[in-house]
Amino acid sequence: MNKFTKKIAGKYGIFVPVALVILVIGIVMTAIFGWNVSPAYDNAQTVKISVNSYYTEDRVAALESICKKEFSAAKLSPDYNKTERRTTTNNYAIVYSFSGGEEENFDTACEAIRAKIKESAADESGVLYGLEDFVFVSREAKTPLVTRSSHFILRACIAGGVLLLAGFVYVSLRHKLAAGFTATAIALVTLGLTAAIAVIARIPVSSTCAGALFLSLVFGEAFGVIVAQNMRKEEQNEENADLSSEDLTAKGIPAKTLFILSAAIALGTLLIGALGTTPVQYLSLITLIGLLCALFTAGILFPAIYPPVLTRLRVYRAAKRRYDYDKKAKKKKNGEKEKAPEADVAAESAEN
Amino acid sequence: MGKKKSVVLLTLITIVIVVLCAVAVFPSFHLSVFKEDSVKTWNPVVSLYDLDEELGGGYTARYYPSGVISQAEYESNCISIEKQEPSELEEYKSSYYKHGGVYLSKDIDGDHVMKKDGENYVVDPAFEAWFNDTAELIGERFSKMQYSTVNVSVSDDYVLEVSVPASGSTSSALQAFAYTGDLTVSDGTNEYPGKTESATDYFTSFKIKTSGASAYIEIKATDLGSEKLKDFNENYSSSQISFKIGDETLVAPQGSYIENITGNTWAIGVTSETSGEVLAIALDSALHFEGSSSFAFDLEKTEISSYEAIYGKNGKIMLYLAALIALAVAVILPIILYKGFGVAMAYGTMTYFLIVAYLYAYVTNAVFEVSAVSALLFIAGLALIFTLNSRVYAKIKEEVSLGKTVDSSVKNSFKKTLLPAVDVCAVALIGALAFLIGGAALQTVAAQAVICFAAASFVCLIWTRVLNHLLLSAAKDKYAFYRLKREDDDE
Repeated sequence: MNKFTKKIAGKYGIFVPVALVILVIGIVMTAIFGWNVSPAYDNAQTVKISVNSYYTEDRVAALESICKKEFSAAKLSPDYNKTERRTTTNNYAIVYSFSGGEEENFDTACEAIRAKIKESAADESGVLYGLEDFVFVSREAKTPLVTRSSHFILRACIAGGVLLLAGFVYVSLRHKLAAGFTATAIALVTLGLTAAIAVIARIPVSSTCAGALFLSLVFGEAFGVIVAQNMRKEEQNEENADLSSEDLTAKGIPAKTLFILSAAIALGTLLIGALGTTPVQYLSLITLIGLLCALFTAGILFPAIYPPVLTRLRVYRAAKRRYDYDKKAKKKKNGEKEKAPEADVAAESAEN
Repeated sequence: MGKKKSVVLLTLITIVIVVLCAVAVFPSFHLSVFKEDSVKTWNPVVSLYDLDEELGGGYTARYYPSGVISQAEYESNCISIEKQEPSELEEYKSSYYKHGGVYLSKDIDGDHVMKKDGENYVVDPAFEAWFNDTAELIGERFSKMQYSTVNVSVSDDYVLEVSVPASGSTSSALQAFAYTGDLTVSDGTNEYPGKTESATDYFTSFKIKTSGASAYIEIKATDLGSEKLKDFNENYSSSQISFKIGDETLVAPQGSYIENITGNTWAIGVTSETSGEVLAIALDSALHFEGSSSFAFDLEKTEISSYEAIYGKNGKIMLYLAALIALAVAVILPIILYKGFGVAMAYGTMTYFLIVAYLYAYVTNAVFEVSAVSALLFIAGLALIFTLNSRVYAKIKEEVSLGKTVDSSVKNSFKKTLLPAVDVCAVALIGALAFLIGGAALQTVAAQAVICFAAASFVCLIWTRVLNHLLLSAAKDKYAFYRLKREDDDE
């Protein structure tokens, strides 16, 4: 029996409000501000350096160096930049994207970049020599129109619903209805908490992050099954008949297994986040939040809520198991009464 | 099983795993051995992966309506005119109106994107309405393709920009989805629908369908349309029948290739499902488009460009590195913790890696792009294997501490941990299968989750047990194999 689980078993007054507050704040923030959309899928200002000449890495590096200096001087910080190479000609463009910034600063930066390029194009020893008439600097305002596939959210919701239902049916068939409810509730609360924390923490999301939410649901369902099957096993064990509901719940939580599974996944996720680029780091962060939420729901929230439920369940199960003499006697009596008129009719027909 | 047989089998398994690992990950190199000039290149299996936009980059297309040009083109034209005909420069400059980073033509007789309002020029409301409707139409076409990521945006109000990951259908989609205008069918002489008719008088829908390995566009026609298609099939069997959107021909099969399936349902064969999907989506959306068709994109000015991963070129390498470090930990840690049983786990883990690595490369039926989520799923599978096998080891230790023999403890432990392990694996698999319903990126993630969890389940429930049996048969001291202490050892 885990000491920590024993301490928190039945303390729903502490942990349920915590979970509820997170969920409510998440819902309110989603309603007011929505999700924090990744910069690549949001309104943006772009500065484009178009080059109508052949591509070399030195030229790109020289242009990027000029832009970096001038953006910094104009107090502008790009969210990202990409080099687009035309598929049919040698032309290319370096596009810088900004989610914020003053109008004047953009004009200043563009003018300064133009001037610097002109200066560099006159330098015979530079890689940009002679490009004065072939490099153009422009500014654009981008408004997103479509950022996800058709019916993406609807299909994701249906898939989530099917997962929960299928999980519930499977666990209920294997370990009875209470276990099915336990596993499904843990999965659902895990998903809710993960989404709420992602909204509250304003983590930039793209459609790829739906994968992390899917993972959190699977973690929740898997943790739920581990808890539900262990709980059921301990509840069935006659040796535990004398234990209080709190103690039985604490005994039924496989804390070690949950911890090993969480630690193994968390280490891998941290590794990917540490070595990955910005969107991968956000993805890893949401996955990690999902994992922590699954651990919190299965390892803390469930043992906090379950003991009062278990007490009632035990009373109900005991009542169901008890042999009811009065009921049986009544049933027997009713059965004889019902049979009697039939017997009379049969006797009458025999006499006739 | 005898000791010798076990050793032979283990040796064979080791050789297979090593060879398959080399094929999967040994880095690319150039090899010129066959002829002096010929250069053969070795490519590992992992290099065959399709990558998502964040890891592998993608394609961007910018569509300019006729009468709208980019600032780069405007400035380039000004430089050319200044050099060749300086006197015409002012006239050229005055023929355009600057709107943000784009220039709109003031040629009201030609492109008519602007109109005169007293002394000033204003954007023609009809052009504005056409652009908004058309942007929505094209956005909808791309969203139906279920790419893992799609980004359709409007630049400076009148330029449409589309970014999608590189995949088999990207090139044809970027071209065909920009076609705007009415849907028409021509046999070379006549064009349908006629002037007083509309395309919906002939057709109801266009959809992509598959039959075994082949794909076709299913055309649901009206009675009138069916009559016409029958006419094409019978009387124009060697002529080309052009299905056009605006002035652009989208598909032009011979009349004999338009086949009747049943009743008013007809079919045109296509080379692949993805290319057919592009055609079907474009035709169907053009059929149901109710907006104006008096403007069009200048397709010659369309800028299609490729770009590398936005957040760094090394993203892919770093992700592979992270996955390999996780794999190394998953192989080494059990050996340190559980000795002989850890070796069985390590073999199992390597088998899991090979199954996932090969299936990620060779499952190519649909969009199957490897992303950071794919690496997370791979790690989740590793964690599942480690956790479930750790439970088995803990159970073996528990059974031995009760005074049972090693053989009986192992047998009992595997038996007792089987059903709980089946439950966890089953739920993980059910979850992955359920998410196949999800569209676009989620479907790909779900397919990869099915691969990872199915492989992990196989390794946990069957393969590690087989390997443990083989290793145990070859072990001299069974207690030492599991790092267990005999009770008499303590004494």
